[in-house]
Amino acid sequence: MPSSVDTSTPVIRTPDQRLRVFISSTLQELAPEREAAARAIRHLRLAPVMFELGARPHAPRSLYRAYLDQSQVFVGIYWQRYGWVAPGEQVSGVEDEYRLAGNRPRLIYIKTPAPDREPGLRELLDLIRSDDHASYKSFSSASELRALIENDLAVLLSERFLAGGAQLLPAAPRRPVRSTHLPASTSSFIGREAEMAAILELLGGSQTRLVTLTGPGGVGKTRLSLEVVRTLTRGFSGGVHVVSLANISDPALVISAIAQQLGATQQDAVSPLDRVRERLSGRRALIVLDNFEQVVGAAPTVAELLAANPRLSVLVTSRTPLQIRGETEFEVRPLPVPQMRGESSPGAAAVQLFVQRARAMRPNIGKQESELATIAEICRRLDGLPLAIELAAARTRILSPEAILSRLGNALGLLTHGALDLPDRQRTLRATLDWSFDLLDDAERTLFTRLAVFAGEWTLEAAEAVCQRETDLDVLDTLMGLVDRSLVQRGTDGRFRMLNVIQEYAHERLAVRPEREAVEAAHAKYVLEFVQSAAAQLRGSDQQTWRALLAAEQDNVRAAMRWMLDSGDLVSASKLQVALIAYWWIQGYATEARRWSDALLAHVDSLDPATTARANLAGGVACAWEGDDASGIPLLERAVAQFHEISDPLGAGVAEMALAYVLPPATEYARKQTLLLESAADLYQSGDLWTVNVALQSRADVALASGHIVDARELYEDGLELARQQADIRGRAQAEVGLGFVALQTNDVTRAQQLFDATVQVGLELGNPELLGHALRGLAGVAHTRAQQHRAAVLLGAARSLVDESGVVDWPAARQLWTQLEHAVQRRLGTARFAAAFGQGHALSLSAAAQFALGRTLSSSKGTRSCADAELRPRHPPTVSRQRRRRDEVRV
Amino acid sequence: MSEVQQQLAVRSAGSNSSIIDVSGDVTAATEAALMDAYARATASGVCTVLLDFSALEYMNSSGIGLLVTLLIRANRQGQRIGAFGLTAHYRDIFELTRLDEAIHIYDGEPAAIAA
Repeated sequence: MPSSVDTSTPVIRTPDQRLRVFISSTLQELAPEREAAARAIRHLRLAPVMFELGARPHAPRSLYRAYLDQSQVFVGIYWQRYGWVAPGEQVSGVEDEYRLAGNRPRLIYIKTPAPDREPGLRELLDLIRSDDHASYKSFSSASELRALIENDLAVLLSERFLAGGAQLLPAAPRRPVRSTHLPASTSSFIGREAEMAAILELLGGSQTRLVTLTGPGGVGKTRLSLEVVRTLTRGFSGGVHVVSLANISDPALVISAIAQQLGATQQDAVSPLDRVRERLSGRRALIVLDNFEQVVGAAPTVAELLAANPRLSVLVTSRTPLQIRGETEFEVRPLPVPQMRGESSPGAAAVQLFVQRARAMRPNIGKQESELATIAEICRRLDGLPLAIELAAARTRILSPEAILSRLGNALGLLTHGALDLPDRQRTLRATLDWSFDLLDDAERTLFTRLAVFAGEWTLEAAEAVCQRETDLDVLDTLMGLVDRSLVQRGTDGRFRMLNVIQEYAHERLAVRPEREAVEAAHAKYVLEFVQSAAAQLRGSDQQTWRALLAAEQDNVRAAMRWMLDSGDLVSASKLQVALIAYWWIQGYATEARRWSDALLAHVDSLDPATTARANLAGGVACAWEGDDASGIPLLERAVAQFHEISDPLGAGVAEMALAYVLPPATEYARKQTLLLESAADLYQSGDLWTVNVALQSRADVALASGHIVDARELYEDGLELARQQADIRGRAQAEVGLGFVALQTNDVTRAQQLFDATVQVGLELGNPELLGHALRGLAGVAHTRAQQHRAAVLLGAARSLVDESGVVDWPAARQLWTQLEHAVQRRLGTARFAAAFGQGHALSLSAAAQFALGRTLSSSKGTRSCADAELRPRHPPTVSRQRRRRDEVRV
Repeated sequence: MSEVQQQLAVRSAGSNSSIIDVSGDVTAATEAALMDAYARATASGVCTVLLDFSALEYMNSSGIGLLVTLLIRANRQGQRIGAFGLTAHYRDIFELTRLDEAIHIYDGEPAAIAA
């Protein structure tokens, strides 16, 4: 669903994810050079990626394409041979690799002398020389090449670093976003200058706050809206937020989708509309709602949103207008096409689009007048519909324009007699899709149809798990074929997707196939297994990575959940809900959790005991998050009893912990400790020591919050040791933070600082905003105790931002302390100075906040009084803090 | 859990072991007493603490949770825990909750001390 690209914060990667440099060359004649290049790349601690011949389960072309797809830099080495041209191909693998390198940085090395250079290679080198985006150098020996590559890569990296190095590393999952959100675009964009200018003018003024781009499917509304967003670089301090509604069919969920995209997650009884308003906090912002035709019932919500946020503009793409007050409809028309038959019209936008798309496969296309005339005729027959033109042009690898026109003509002619209730242009697109589908081979048709089961984007692994129903279906190879034919697009982070119109078409095909149910069941099974495995990883030190991976799968998760509930697979639905609890909690998706759990609980009378227990657990937790304790507590009490009845100690232990968490703050201390002890007993019985430690540290939290300092210290020490034994970095850090607060409470400031400093290091290494936030709050306490009030306020601001960003509900034991602390620091500094320092801290990036905390720690020990303002690097303007659900004592 | 409302007797059993006489009920309310007894039992630096359950009247699941906590604490301090005097019923409970995998159960005090 919403696609998000973080352009403001650094990507923190595990050490195995090095920058990948693809080495392209003929294999045998340049073997020593390939080895030298690989050595140069490894010497820079980067990863060389090389295609080698050998027995592999994939076709060579699929392999090198997949390798190249995952690489960030392209190195081409050429000498005399042009390389092998595969049957049915027009260019060699070496040339294909160069062409597929696309916009990657390309470093080209040509070996001299080359007295017997093959003509094909001479032409390729001519092409490279004429390309002003590729650099090339000559060399004569392998050792010279190694030095050149090492030097050039170092220069390239420095330049990219200075220009904003994160752009060079687009492949790994990213942390959630705070600013502009933009999906990647891969297709051509031609001939829309006038539309762009008009829309930008509309959005730039204050009169028009709702612009709806209307037009038939495939006309290019989405693409146009994204180009508008890309062009808008200034003027929206509240950000530009793209929300894809393609996979949402319930109008009631539109506002939640918007809130989620804005990062305005759930709070107690605050409506999503209010959350969005709070998030935008009066700043000028643009929200793009893509594919609105699926949820036209939500038009009043858009009106409400606009009324509630006077500085908000909304750009909508929809096949029909919203028909609400203030809407400016902008009809997106097909691209201009040559009017006269036989006219070549190279300048017509439709022809340009065809030629540009086709040249990726057939470089010389469209250079002859007669061929251009044929292309012009194809475009005319396709009514200038960009998507139809792209689909037709994608066939030029195999078919000449003449052949395309002839076959397409038949298809269009046939279909004109078909679905007469459709408007002309829709019939054209439909016919083009039919034509494109009919040209696929059996494997491609099968895979294309099955891929319709995915909502949003999917990974190669998912496609293999869900679609490989026969052993002889080569999913990777076939998928790459569908990408070639423009039926599947490359999405973000190496994932794949279909344009909405194409996905609808594929879905129609799937709907009439007998295997539909089996494919949907396979999808649901895959999603459940993925979420269960990801949920386990959320416990670990790599939480942020898994959180991002889960976020990328949310459309598929929702589709699977819907299917499970609709098809009566309630056992899987309950398992999926329980597996999602941790993720929902971290993300603050309380409304969604409640909606799904209510849907499952509606069937509670017909469920088996285990499913009932899971449904009650998920339901109880969801109710509690929404502040509906009256419903939540009895559900959790039932869940505890039911898990005991079916001898499921893990379920019982988790339910007991959840119950202790949701019990009101005034609940007797002993009752909570008793519940947590019961939880520990059950969890120990289940053998899950990691969760035993969570229960143990929850007991410590409760003790600390209730003033039982000695008990709290012992329990945190126990938790620290248990975490050490399990090599649980997060668990250790959490225990150390707890011990830090114990030290603060007992006035052992030096010890407290040591413990918090250690956690800052861990939080920085893991890129974990939650841990870092807690540690910074602790250090703020240290600073306050040492009368460094300004530093305390900066740290409190940074901590608030980080804890908000983590999405995790505030650390209960510490909360009471820092609420008091904020008040105390504010009293000492005065409101204005406190607000200024707090704002400074709030604007720090994760690493800058960590550096500030550690740097100041060193300085303070030397008695320096000045605040290291030079270290303050703004990340984003302060936002109104999300007042998350505040339960004081136990964390789940 | 901080306030000691009952006291459990602690006695020495050789140079390397101490025995805690666990009497009455073991529930969440016993925590202060049990931890206090444990602190006294280990003050002399013994390696093994034996829990004598002969006078145990009742133990519930929060009491089991308490023993889990005790086990983790002993582990942290490099000490071993053993038990004796359990009725058949509580032996079953120790097996069901897997406590018997970490707390060695002996048939009686002589066997426990001898081990």
